[in-house]
Amino acid sequence: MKRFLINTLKVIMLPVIVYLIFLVICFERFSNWNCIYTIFLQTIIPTITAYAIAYGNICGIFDFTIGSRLVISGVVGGLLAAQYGLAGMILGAVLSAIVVGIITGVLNWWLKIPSLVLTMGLTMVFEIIGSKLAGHYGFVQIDNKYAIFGSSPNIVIVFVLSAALFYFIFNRTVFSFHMRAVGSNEVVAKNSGIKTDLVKCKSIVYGSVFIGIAAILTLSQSGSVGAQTSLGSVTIMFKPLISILLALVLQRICNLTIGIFIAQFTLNIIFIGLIAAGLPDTFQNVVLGLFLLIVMILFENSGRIEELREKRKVRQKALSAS
Amino acid sequence: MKLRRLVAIGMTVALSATMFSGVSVYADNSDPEPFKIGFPWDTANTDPTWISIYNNVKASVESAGGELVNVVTDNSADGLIDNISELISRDVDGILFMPASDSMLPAVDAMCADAGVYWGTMFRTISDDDIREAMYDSEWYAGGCNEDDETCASNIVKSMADMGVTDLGVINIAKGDTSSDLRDKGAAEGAEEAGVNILNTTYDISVTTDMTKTIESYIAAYPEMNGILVLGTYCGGAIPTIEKALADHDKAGDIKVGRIDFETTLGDYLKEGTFNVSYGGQQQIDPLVSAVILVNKVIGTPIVEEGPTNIITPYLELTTAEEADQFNEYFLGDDAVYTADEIKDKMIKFYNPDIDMDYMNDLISTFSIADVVERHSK
Repeated sequence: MKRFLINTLKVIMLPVIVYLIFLVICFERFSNWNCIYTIFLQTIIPTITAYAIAYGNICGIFDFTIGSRLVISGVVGGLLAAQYGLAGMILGAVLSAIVVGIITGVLNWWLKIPSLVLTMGLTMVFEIIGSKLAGHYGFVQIDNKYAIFGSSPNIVIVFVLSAALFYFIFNRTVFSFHMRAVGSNEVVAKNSGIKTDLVKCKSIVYGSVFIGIAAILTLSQSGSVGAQTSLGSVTIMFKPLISILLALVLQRICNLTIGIFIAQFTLNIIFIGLIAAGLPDTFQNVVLGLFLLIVMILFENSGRIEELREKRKVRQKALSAS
Repeated sequence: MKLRRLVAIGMTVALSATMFSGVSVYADNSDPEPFKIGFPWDTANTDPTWISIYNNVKASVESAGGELVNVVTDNSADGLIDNISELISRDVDGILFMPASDSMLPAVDAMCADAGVYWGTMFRTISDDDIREAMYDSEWYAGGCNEDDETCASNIVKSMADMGVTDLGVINIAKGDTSSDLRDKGAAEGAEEAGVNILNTTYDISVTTDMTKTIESYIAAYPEMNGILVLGTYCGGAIPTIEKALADHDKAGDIKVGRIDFETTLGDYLKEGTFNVSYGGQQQIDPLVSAVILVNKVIGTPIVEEGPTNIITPYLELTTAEEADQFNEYFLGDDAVYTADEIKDKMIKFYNPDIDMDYMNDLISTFSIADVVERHSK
């Protein structure tokens, strides 16, 4: 219990420290509840997108198609919202995400080419499909009456349910253990009788459910989803991917479900903090990159730091004894 | 007598031959030699503005009987260099493109000079003095169109200041892009003159989620913000996304919104009164006239005999919902803002020897939404 509390405290300290730094830099702009609330709300969609990426990532799949699948899902949801209302939007977004996920997963299974190459090619194909579906204006807009999931409390409820679903699949199913085994060592997993290709395919399909949810929330929050071409959709997955990398580092002290949220929340504090500090946009990427490196260096080398401390203690003891 | 008859026959034959040769010369000069213009453009993009740019260039090239050769591009400097190399290998006579930076131009000029291919630019000016001087000296640079981005940005900031805006959040396309930099510079000048405080500028937003995030961040970090200005963006549906974010925070109508470059949804928000001012319309006339400059050069009748032809196309101002609807119908439809026949009569020097810089500037000064509606309404 004590260890759990210490670990929880450690995890929470990450966004708290970052927030305090910006509070010192720009107290007036950063010391209001609205700011923290906005950061929280902005964290939800990238966190759910990160959940979609996480399964494949743990299996060792590098999936470029996430953004393009999200666009297709959003566009289909938007188009069906105009025809069948809210039900059309929800079913359209989730089902189209699953269908495109199945196509990606099955092709990854059958074609036996590196996921990086396959998903890069598929991204271009999916982007064109998204553009064609989006029609003449290149984006799909929904009526405001269907945008009910874009604001609180609905968006928070959807987030909590999504996090619970992710947690359940990731911690309480046989599939999750297979997924980790495949990601850890595919050959060993195969020799142990795990159908590794099926596991990889499933990881993409399960992730698609979260893509569908993220698409619904994007439609609701932005009111529209725009088609992307020339690999423009890849930018959608950059920040969620950074949060996964951070969460994998934090995994030693907290569950991945929470870790992804905390990492994304911290990234958003940096994003709004830099805007509030009046720093140029270009500076944000530098800070985000540095932040990722610093956290990874600190956590990945924590064992070595501990070892150095121990050595120093022993040396001091030896000196004092002599 | 015999000699006179022979002379008469000889003269008749000579006259007939001359007559036939005259017909032949006339036939050769009735149309320019066939030619091909290469055009790197992202034709996969379904954005109506991007489609209209292609349609306008195509109309210009076809007006003089040319063929447009397209290669799909990402419009980056490296990508464009590859595209130009590919177009040269496809034996084009001229290449029109939108430069990603000044620094890529010497390489383009060297490639085109080696291949004997004319090249022209659209939408962009050459900011770097040394590069501009070198390019203007090149016999292969035909010239191009650009807009006075700096003045336009300055004017729109001042317009917004007249509406009561004092604190402005800005969005722009990627830094380093010539237009982006000039618009930034103009906005800063306009803000200084009008006493407007530019709170922050966010660059290179391409997806709606990032647009929402940026607007919400501005609202959270700058409670005093009373204006949002989009100096430029490649994000589809930018204005609906901004309006949605503002409405979700009960700020629609309170925060004035302005945009350089028209988009299809402006009419709805102008009607509602939540969108306030836009300068644009250059996205159709600029590529059209840029292509006209290159075509004239390629077929041997350049608008300016010495050096490149550079024309500044004007920004149009959009302030009413009716104008927005007309813009969507006549600028973003299937037809170019001047049809191929109109271009042939009014802008191709081969057919109209009166064309020179003054003529072109006079013609462009009459260009407006109302002008296009009048010419093309059925």
